[in-house]
This record gives sequence, structure tokens and C-alpha cells, in this order.
Amino acid sequence: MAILNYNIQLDNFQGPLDLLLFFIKRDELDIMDIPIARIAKEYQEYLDTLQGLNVSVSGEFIVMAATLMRIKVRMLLPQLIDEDNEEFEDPRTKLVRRLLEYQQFKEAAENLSTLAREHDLCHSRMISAEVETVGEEPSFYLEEISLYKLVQTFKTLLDQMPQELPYEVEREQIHIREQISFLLAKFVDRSQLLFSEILPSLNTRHKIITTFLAILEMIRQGQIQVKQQSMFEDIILERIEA
Amino acid sequence: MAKEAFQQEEIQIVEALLFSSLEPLRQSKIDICFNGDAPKLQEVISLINKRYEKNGNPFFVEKVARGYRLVTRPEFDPWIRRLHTRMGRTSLTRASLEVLSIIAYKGPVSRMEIESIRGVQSGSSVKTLLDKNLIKIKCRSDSPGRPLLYSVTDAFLVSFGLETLSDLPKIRDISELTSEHTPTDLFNNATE
Repeated sequence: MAILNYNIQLDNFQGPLDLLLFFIKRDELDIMDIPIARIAKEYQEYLDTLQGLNVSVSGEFIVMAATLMRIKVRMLLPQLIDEDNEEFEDPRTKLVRRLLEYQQFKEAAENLSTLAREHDLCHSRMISAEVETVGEEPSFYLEEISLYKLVQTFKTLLDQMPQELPYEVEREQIHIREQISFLLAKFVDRSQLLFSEILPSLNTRHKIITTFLAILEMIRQGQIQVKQQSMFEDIILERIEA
Repeated sequence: MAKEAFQQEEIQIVEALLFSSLEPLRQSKIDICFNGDAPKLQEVISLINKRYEKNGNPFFVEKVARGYRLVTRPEFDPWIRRLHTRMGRTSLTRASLEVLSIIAYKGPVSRMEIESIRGVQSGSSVKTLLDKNLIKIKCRSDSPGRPLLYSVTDAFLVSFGLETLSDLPKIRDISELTSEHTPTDLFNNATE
């Protein structure tokens, strides 16, 4: 039955404060003396109706429901009055302040809307903007450009940039052992190899380094020995026959 | 016979400048144009407006955003809209209007403050207003997080026909509202 009472346009409320103001106005309640239990009940019923209609209720509405419940509870509890401070705070005060402040700006928004409607009737000349800025002293038109405008323009430019296509780089798996057999294969019908001969077949830096390490390993194992005529000369690899 | 305060030529120059100007014309621009010996804009304008009214001209000079511009009289709006069929109106949603009024009356103000007054998130309205150039980022606050502070623009003043922010319609003060009421007895209500 309760649902029948709510012939309210659902998206009409700007938020929980707006909804509370609606209840207060509809039921002609005194904003300074809100019957909190009644309002909390109505508020909760409204949220239930929304949820019954499968409308998701935003977090702000839920927070307000909790606030109303807290105020209701605090009003039911006996108050401990401080001896020094006889003034005792109504738990509703904070909420009432927020409601009043919001109502103030709600009215202001309506005033602004009226103002704009009235002023929309007077028209200035509508010269196209391009004509205006050509060949002028910069200070004449630069003052109208805000930082936001500048950032916005920059963002538009960024958006227009061609997208970089990301791709994954996979690490090549090369082991020293493989390079040792690679080198051994080269020695099949000869006993000497030039380091410069091997290089062209090694197409990545990673491969070159691994091959170099392979050479060092082969020296250590006594499979080959290396010679060099002088500094920076080609390195000669020589197979040591077992 | 009343002494003519301005030369006919001066008045005509100001009229020509008004006619050609897209933005509200300010005294500072007049000073540049006249190279030092500029007439007082305010006085010339009032003279021009009197003349327009006497002649029954369909336009007048409006004081807006600390400047002046030539606009048509309201009664010609329907005809002008027939000519410029794609001309828009200042249309904002209720949410945007609320955000705009908070910024107009309380600015410079942060998004957090706006949201705490409205009780709902207001980011998208702030964005709309920035896009429409009705508000701008004024500066950063010194409070924690250094949030951006927003204030209204000259374009806002122009759209709403205001000379300065102090011409905004007065809003009811909260303290006025609260003082009308006497404190109520809590215990009468607690058992409802």
C-alpha cells in the first residue's frame, strides 16, 4: 500500500538533501523542528520503493539513511547534561544546518535560471569569432584564454595523435651450450676460425655476448685456444685436438 | 541651454566601437583607442541610451561584465530567433545550476565544498560548466591536498546579464532563517 503514495518522479531529486526538503515541504513540516522518526521512516520507505523497482540507489542516499537513524536513536536516549555546559545540543542541529544551506543554494539556482531566461531575450551582434582575432595585438584576445582552455586544446591534440601500437618483446633464449655446439660445428673440417667470420651470423647483441661467453667456456675446458697478432686485431680460434 | 558634455564625434566613435565589438567594451579599451584623451564611457553610454530610447531604436547599450555592449530589446527576441534558427539558450540542468550558484556565491570554492553543500557528487556538473566556459579554475587552495578552486567567468556575467558578482540576486541568509525560530523542546518530539 505504501508504494501507492509514492507517485514521485524518480530522477527528480538532486540528492538526499533534496529529497528531505521535498518531504518537509510536502508535509508542511517545520524545518527547525523536524519530526525525525517520521522523516526517517518516509525516507527509508522511499529507498525501499526505489530498490523494489530495481533502481540502484547511490551511496549518498544510504549514508543519509544511516544519519537519520543515528539522530533518531540519539533523540530517544536520555541526554547527559554537562554541569558546566547546560546548553545541550539537539542532535538534529547539524542536519538542519545542511538542509538550510542546501535550500539556500537551491533557491539561488532557481533565481539564476530566471535571470538567464530573461537575459536570453536580448541579443548582441553575432560576429564569427575568426574575424575578430586576425592581425590584432595579442593582448586584445589572449586575455580570454584560460588555463583550462589551453589544457583542453592540448588534450584534443594528444587525442588526435596516431596511436602507438604496443607489442610484446620476448626475450630470446640462447644458452652457452647451444653456442658451444654452434662453434664446434664450424670446426668440423678445419682447425682455425676467425672471430670476425662468426660475427655476421650473430644478429643480436644477446647472441654475440653468449657466443663470446661460449668461447671463454671452451677455452676453460681446453677445447680451443685463442690467439691475437696485436691489440684490436682479429681473434683466431684454434681447435685443440684431443 | 544645457552644455553639451561631449563632442558629437566622440559619441559616434564610441557607438562605432560598441557596434564592432563582440566582447563587452570596457573603459580600458576605450582609453587605448582614444590614445589618452578618452571620454568617460559611462556618461557617453547614458547619453547614447537616452538617444536610442527617444528615437525608438530596437537596441540599447547594456552594462554587463564591467563593460558595455549593444543588444536588441527583448521584444524582438522571436524575430531574431527566426533568423538565427540554430541559436541556443542558456540551458543548464538543475544539478549544473546548483553547482553554478554555489560557485557564484561562494567562489572561489573547491569541488569538495560544493559536494558537501549539495550532498551529492558534482564532478560532471563542474566539467559541463568548465566546458561551457561559465566557470574557471581560479587557483589552488592552501588546505590539505591543495584542491582546485573554482570561480565564475566573465562569460558567466555576460550570459546572466550581470555587471559584477555583487549584482547577483541576494540569497536568504541562514542565520536570518534560524533566528526566526525559538529553540524547541526536544522531549516533546522524541517519543513520536
